[in-house]
Amino acid sequence: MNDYRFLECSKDFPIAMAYVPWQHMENVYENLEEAFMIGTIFPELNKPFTGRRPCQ
Amino acid sequence: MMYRQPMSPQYNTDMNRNNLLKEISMVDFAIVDLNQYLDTHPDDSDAVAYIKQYITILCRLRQEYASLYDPLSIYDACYSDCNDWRWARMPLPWEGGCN
Repeated sequence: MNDYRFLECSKDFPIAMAYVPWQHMENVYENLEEAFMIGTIFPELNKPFTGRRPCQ
Repeated sequence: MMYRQPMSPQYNTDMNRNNLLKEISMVDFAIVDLNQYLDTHPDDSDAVAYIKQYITILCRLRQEYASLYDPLSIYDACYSDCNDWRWARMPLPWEGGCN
């Protein structure tokens, strides 16, 4: 059974287009060792892979 | 045939050297990340302030590393305190020079 729930998040956007929301830097990790381990200095880009759809 | 002197055991077990190299890697990484952000956000003055601060820190760290150990690039070679040309005498990557 297919799971189409993720489509609810994109109903305002035309299909067949790709969208990348614009990043606005709020702050950065002050602890550079933490940022180094996470792989980004931007907390908003800290997106560990969970294997689930993002809109749930 | 001339061979380089084998590395002293001290070389790779020097804790301060590894810590300094790790610090350089972390600051360098922060600069790369900010650099990419600034490619699309060149007017973000906060990001500009951050990257300038980290570039200044990185220059100081690389200078410190070159004076204590080996220059990490030819542009750091002038900071070596040795009278001889350290760049040519330091261990090559396959001799553990990049560990």
